Amino acid sequence: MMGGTGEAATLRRLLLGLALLASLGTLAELALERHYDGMDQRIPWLIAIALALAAVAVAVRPARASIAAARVLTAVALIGSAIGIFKHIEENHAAGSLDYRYAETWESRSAADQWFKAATKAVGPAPVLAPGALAFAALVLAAATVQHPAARASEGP
Amino acid sequence: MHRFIPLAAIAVALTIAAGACSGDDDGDAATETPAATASGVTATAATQSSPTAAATAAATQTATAQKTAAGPTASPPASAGKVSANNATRAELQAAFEAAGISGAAQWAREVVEYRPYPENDPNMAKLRQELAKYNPGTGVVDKIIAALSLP
Repeated sequence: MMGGTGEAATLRRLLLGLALLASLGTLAELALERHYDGMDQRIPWLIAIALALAAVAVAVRPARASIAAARVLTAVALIGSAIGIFKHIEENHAAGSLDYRYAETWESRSAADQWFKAATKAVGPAPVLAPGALAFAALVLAAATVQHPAARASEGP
Repeated sequence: MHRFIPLAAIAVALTIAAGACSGDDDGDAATETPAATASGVTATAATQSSPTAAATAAATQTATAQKTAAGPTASPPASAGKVSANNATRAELQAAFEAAGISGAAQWAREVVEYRPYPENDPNMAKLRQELAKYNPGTGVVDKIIAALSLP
């Protein structure tokens, strides 16, 4: 049921549990941040829910289909995470002129300087790397599927 | 059968990515622009331009007292046009902020909309103040924004 026995199975359970915990933690953080203004703020909710469900599916009913779905979902989450990081930097960039330290000089600064300040959160309120939590959960989930016996069993000798 | 699952998931991923990239800012701005002309913010200019002598003296005393007590944080005159923090469109908010002399009015309007709703039993708008403080605004900017807003 859990994908074999022994140390590998134990490690797999731990990884799946960690992926589930990371997904649920991300959902809790999204709720605390009221991250639901508009469709683009709701996308990480969908990804985190899908990751949690995939972790449960691989743990409870490991099969080639659920493992393949988990791996594809990992790719989706990585893309979503990268987009999220960019969106947060973009949000900070847009807020640069509101910061009293740069209000008078923001427009005259070079684009590279503006984006650097946004990417390092020198301006703006958005946590730049926060969407990386989705990537972390996804990679842990993918790690739990490596050499999974359910996938290998259906591949045959 | 199983080999189609990855293809379906990739299709979903591309759809999600496209949705994330498109955003809704432009669309909102486009649809809200006409509403700005109906905001009634400019109508308050006439009210501001003809205060009574007593009101002028009172306003001067109030502004002086505020500057003395808290530095350059004086709010706009009480007669300045107010728009609803919870119900005004983004364009209406922007027009009100521009009328109040707030720089970056469009950006501030966007942020006010983002953090809605605001509790009607909090006339000081502590929630909005807390959210706007994250942007590190200049002294008095948040006070000016709050002064341009009303509840509900």
